Amino acid sequence: MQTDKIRNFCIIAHIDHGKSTLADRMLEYTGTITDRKMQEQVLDKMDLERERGITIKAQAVSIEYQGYELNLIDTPGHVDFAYEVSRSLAACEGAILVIDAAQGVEAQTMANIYLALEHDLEIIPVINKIDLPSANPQRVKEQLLDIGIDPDEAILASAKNGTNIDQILDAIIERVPAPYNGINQPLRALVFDTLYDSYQGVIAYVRVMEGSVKKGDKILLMSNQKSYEVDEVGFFSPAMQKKDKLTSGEVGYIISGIKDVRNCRVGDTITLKNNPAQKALPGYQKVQPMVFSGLYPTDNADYEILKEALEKLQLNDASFTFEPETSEALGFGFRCGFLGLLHMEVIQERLEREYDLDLVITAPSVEYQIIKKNGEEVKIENPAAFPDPSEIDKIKEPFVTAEIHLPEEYVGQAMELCQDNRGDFKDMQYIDQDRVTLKYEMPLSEIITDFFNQLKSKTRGYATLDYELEGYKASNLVKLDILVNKEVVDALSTIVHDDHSYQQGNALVRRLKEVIPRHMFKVPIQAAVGGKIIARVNIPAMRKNVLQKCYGGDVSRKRKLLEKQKEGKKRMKQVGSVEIPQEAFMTVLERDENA
Amino acid sequence: MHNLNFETANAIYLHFPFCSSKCPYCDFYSTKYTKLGVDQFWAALFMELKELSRTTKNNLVQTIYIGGGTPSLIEPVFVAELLQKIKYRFKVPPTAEITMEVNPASVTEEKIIKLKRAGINRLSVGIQSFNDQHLSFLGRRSNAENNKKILSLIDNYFDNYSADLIFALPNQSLNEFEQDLEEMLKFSPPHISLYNLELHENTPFYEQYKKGNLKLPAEELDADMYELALEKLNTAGYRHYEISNFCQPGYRARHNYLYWLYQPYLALGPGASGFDGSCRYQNFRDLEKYIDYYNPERFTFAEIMDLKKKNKKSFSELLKNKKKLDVNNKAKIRKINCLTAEEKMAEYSFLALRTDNGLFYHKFYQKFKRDFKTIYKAEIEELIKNKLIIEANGRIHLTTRGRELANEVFLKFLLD
Repeated sequence: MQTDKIRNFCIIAHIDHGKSTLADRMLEYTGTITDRKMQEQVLDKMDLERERGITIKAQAVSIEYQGYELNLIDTPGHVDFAYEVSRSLAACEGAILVIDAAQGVEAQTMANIYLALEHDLEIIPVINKIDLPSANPQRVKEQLLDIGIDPDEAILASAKNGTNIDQILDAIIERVPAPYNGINQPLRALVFDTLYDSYQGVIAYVRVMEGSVKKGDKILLMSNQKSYEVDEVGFFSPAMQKKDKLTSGEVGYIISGIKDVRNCRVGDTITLKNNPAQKALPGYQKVQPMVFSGLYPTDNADYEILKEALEKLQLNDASFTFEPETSEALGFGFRCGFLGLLHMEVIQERLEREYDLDLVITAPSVEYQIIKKNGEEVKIENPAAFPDPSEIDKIKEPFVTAEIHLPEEYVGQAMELCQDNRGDFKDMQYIDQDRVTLKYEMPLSEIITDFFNQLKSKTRGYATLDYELEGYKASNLVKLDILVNKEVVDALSTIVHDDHSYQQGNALVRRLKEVIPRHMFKVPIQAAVGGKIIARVNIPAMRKNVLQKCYGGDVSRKRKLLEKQKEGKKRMKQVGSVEIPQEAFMTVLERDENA
Repeated sequence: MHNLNFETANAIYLHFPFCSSKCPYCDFYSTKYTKLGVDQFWAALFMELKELSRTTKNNLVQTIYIGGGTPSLIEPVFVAELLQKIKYRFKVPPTAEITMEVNPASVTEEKIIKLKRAGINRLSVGIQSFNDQHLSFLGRRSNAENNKKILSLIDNYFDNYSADLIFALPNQSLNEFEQDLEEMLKFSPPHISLYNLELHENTPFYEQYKKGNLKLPAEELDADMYELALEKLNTAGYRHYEISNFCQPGYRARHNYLYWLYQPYLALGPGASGFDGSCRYQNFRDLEKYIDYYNPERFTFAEIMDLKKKNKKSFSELLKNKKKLDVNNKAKIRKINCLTAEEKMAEYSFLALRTDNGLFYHKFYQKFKRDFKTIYKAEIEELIKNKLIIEANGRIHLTTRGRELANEVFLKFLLD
């Protein structure tokens, strides 16, 4: 395809403003998808994505329209995948900004505009859902004017009814710039996502910035200097379609027998081995997991199954890491690294759903840098593995800059929440008269507890959160141990700020009292810092557990009740003589509203 | 379908599925009392009696229990007829225990006398409480005064009877329960059953509980009440022969005792559950289905109700023209569940352990050809250590603490 006939664009929107529906409609309108049986929202592939209404993997589709090749790149929609989003945007020249005609400009809309501007994208505003009785496009246009976008450029549309889809497509051709034509330069292709296929290996989603690539070429990944021979190139429609070659400006895929996604990372540049580019494309980062937690099979016999499942998941996800770990309380399991909490939840859910595994998950932790008194420096992401306090000179923890976009009326609550989570106020800016961006420097460990949920609930769901890693800083941290029946349960240990240790220890033992069932004996639950008990509650001994009525009609029912009780006990983890239910290991996560 | 086979059943349970009103804690099957419904029910019940009696070999019946529902709504003349029909198909020796449940709200002195004449020799009366507030909370239509009156009448006419109390009610104090116990002991009933209020799914109480509108007392208070009862009843000379049952010497509930001894029993009526020694069955909780099933040559229940409404001619005239009901699938009346060896062993164990005699190793061996002590060696040792059971003379039985924590004991004797 001639470069001037190509348009590369993405769709950005606040959640629920109709991004995926619009994408589907465009595919239908252009005949890219003719199968009427297509599932709603073709681009969100996994069940999980569909259920949660978020995109986790980027997707790309080539649309043929009036002699043009329009490449739509759908981006993930969550802060955990911010880097992937940025690479997807880097592959485009334009962005359709979808705004709900009834809801108007929202915090995420602003964040998206900034992001698009950062990547120098041509923005095409689309006011969607004009079919709604509550639609008020005029108000939205006024808002656009407020934020510096020409409202006359906005297209009124209804993705649901298919209204004005043609205008949007025409606008893409007219307004989005054609890609730079670098056909005569050495190959530079940007990897913006990868997929693993058990037959073909890694499928790299690429945008060719310069040069061209075809079957048989020897390619080179510029970050790790690994080279492979190209088996196949092609594009998505949305199924994979082979093609002779991909040339400057085009979007498609490259298959080259790469067996491990970790060798072909998002953001990397592919060039030709025999005619390499001088410089890689800017912006490559090796994404590192930021959140760690222990995954243990409830039934120790499932260890091998869990291991295989993790290996399979990793094939498709270079940002997810795992290594074997042992816990005195939980037995054999794995310490896993994730980009963020959503990433962690998605992986856990997939393990439980697709592999039918029953898991105990320990509270997430960040990676700490510990400088010992003897000068030795260690990195530890499992609180249980912390050295003795007497050996520790300094502990450093990761800090992030958190950006919170929210309506002005919730600023007070949000600031309070940030303060409670050791946030250091940096800046506050009005986006318009009633929208605000707050900037805080905060420890990542605070963000990955219950922060986001609490932020959402304190702002009635209006706040959005972005954060970026700043670096490590020393904090006055201590390890909070939990003793159940006088024994330390390693999997319940957490790292907390010393100023909060008393309060958090108290809150935690109280929560544990709620979830750990009564036993035949009194079970003390204690919180300790450096061997000193700072909080204690007792779970009183069980006094009565008997089905009093049992006659002829009840026998089988009573037996089933007993079987259910026994099954419930089996799902608990036996620590010493105490049975601890799975949820106890996650209660560490929660924060007391009043604490 | 499995055929039930009652070679050795010596007990009959009969479920009378009608009540004037439904108590909000009760999950037994019952429906609104109507004259027509009851007539149809009797016809069907006699058919079921005939059907099941054919599956028995030894027709000796030692105990009969008429439960419900509210059997005291039955006219005593029908009780007499029912017992006659049973005696026609089974051998019922004069020593047989024949119990009927009665609700203090639906019996009178006259009825008590007539029931005795009809052949009932034991009554089980649902007193539940002597506190008007608690009675009204439980949806009982009797009050404290009437409860006392009926209890003393029953005590007058019946040598053998049982009275029920429910405790651990929302907002009930230990003192209030003590008063209930003391009131009960004034009558020295030969047999007392005690239950804490349990919430069952599909009952109004359960729904309220789920919504947070009903709070049960704390486990501590529940246990304190139970312990108080044990102490008081023991002092009064009662034998605590099963977790929830107490009797004066010689007055055990023989029928119920057969359940705990893992003996087979016939059960009749919609919603009734029976056991032939290896399979348990439950008739569907559906009066209409039951009636239709056992009245194959008559009208369906719905048709009769319809005719009644339209005030058509007499049934007998219409009967002539009536074609047979299509009841081709005999399996539809009850669910039969045949137990695995493991399930039987588990049931046997927890039922036996409910009684004061406990579980005899040799009886277990006779029944299952497996040595209980070998299978559960570790469990038995642990339970003894925790003072939940006592081992003596070739048997194990619960301690008082074990009775309070009986589920914890029973759990140990479930096989995987």
